[in-house]
Amino acid sequence: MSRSTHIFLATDLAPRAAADRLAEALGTHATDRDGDVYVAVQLGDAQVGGEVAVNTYGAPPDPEPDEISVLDGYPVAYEIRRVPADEEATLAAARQVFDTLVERLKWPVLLVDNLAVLVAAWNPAEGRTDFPSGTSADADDEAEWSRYAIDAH
Amino acid sequence: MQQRLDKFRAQKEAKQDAGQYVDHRAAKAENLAAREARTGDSASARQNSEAARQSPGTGRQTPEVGRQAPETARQAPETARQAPETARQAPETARQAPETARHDPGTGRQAPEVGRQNPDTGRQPSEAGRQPSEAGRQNAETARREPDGLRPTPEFQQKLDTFREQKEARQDAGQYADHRTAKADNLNHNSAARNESPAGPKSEAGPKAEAAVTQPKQVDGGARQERIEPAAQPHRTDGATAPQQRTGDTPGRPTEVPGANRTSEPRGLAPTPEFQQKLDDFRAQKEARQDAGQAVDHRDAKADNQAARTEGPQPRAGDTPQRSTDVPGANRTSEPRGLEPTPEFQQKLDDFRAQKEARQDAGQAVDHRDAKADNQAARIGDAASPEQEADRSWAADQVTPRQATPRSGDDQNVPRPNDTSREGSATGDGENKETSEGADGAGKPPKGRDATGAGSNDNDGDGDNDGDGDGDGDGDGGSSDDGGSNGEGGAKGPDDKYVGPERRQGEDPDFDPAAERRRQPDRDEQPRTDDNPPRPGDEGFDPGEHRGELRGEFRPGVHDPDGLFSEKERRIADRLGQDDASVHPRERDDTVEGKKNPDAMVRLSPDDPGTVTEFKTLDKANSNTVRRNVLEAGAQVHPYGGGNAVIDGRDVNLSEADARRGYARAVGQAREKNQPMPDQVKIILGDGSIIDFPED
Repeated sequence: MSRSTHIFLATDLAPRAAADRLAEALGTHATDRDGDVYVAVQLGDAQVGGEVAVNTYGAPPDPEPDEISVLDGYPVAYEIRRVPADEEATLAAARQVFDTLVERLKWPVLLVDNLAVLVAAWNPAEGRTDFPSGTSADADDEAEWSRYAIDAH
Repeated sequence: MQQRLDKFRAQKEAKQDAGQYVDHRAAKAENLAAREARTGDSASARQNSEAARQSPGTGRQTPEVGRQAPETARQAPETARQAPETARQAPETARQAPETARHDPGTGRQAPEVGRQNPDTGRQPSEAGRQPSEAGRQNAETARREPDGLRPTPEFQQKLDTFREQKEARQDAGQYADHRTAKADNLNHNSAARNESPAGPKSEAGPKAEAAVTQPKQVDGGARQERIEPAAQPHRTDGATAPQQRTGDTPGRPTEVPGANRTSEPRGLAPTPEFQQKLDDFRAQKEARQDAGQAVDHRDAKADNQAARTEGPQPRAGDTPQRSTDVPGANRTSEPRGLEPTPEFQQKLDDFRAQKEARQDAGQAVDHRDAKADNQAARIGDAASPEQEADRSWAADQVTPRQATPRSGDDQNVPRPNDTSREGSATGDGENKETSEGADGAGKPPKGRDATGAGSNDNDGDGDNDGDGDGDGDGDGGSSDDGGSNGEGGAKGPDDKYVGPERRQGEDPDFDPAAERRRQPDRDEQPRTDDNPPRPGDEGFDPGEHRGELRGEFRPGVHDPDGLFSEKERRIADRLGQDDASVHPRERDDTVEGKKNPDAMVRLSPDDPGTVTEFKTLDKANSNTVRRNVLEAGAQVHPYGGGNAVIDGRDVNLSEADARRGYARAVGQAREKNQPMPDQVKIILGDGSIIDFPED
């Protein structure tokens, strides 16, 4: 899997509890396997979803200014995969999931492609933003995503 | 013996005649007679009279009377309560009856004396006078010899009654045992045995003599048969059991009369108030200590010991086995005494100890549970069931020191720190000189190499071509990092402090090679399953899915005839092929939710069993992106026992600085947050060059 898509969520819930809420919002259920928890939903002929886990993609310990990112304040990472696999279709399916969560969960949420590109964001204050293609989730485009940044440092 | 007994009795009688000591039996008999006279025709009187009447006085039948005497007491609660002397005397009568019968059979001469000397009792002029039983004779004898008028004083009687009530209460509470019944039964049993004739039943007096005691209205032979049974029972040695209900017991009457079965209690003796007080105080203190767990209640143990003595020697806690104390387990208290280990067991034991000592010498932790399981199996003949074996394996797993980062994908293919195969397969940093000469382009076969080259598929012929030599069969699980990070003690970051997620033998004090081998049985002995995949040459072997040295089949380049690689993945594979690596795509398995699907199996040489490798293509050229992708690749290969990652930064023109920084950040984060890292990471820079991490 050379590419990946993630939805980052700002919640105080632990991943397991967050997964339950995600599943509830998506009309599905969370599944535990080998100590991990997964949430997947059927979209058309594809199954979309993946592991709900602690966000380990935030800033490294003691980050330099150029190492901060919009991901830093979002504690939960929801991996979006698609079966059957299709990179382009995966991103489209991730958008659908993102839309559903924005509508039903009302948690601050980010849609990030390949752990680098900020696709969309939502929070109660700013509402939803679909970022220009190629917007970096890192300091490169901080000006773009600063409204959705949650202070994690 | 009999002679001595006769002599003793003669002496005793002489003493009694000389007034040197008092025979209390006469007094008691008189007391009993007096009570019965007061209470009318008591059951006891009836029974005694009946017994005397039924006894033909032959002597042979008297044991039956004696045996039934305690039964009489049990079945006459009213009498027992009203005349406890009767109850006490009953077994005494039983004890004396057979002896008397043997030596003075059928005299019955004293019986009339009873009537004459105790005309006011109302008991002696009964049938007992005409056909006296031994009990009657004893009573008469004692009455004749006892000075008239000896009766307990009211005070003594009061004390006696109080004492008995207290004792009965304690017995009811199970605080101590009453042995009298057992003794009476034993006596009866012995008497019966002595008098038992080989020709027939013990009693020739007919059923009446027996039924009169317990079943006055039942005179058939069945009743007699039932009454004989107790005498045939084994000796009751515990003495703590209550009298058992017998078939012949009189219905409607309680069969257990408090105090009725007393046979061993000193007759007429009551503790002094002072002694009783001390006794009560002592018991109270003892019970308090027992309740508090400070003292041990030995009564159960005594009963057990008694039973054990009856049944024969049994192993007991604390018994010292008959073997050297330096043998592990020699001080096991549960092992029967005198059992020596079999040579096979001893051999296993010795082997185990040697292994244990070796591990101890190496500073590694010892798994005591596994050893115990083995010992247990050995003790039962080393015939452990598959379930037991599974349990043992489970136990070993439970105590096998786990890695700092749990590796859910641990299986038979997981390379282990003690794999010597790493040395054989490692060529270091992809510099495979053996095959580089044949590499002229991605996906092309090497020049001059025979596609069916000699020696192909011979790699499984020797059964040990992975070079591990230890038969654990896991050497082919080694990864191409063998010459890199793992072989040198783990991934090293720029700070040279990080040690990869795998703790290494020698570095991990808890690492247990034996346990590891148990977890990874010889794959050649296992069926080909997901946990024991086929090896090169085996049917079903997939070079993209399964590890194994390709040997003569090794071809540098990308081998993806089915087009499983995506475009970006293919670019990465082609780049590796340029460096003479053999790259096979791994087919995705989406049947299992959440299953990680690393992209490729990469081999750097014919002897390289292959390494699961995750490909990543960067969308941004910064250290954060490098860091995240390295960590994500680590998570991808982690379930497979580790693997490598290739990060492609060509599209974003990744700089060497960002690559190094990103990798260093990933190492730091993995160390701090206990995240898995790829064993080796290749980062393809913007110019197409590759930096291998960790660096030498």
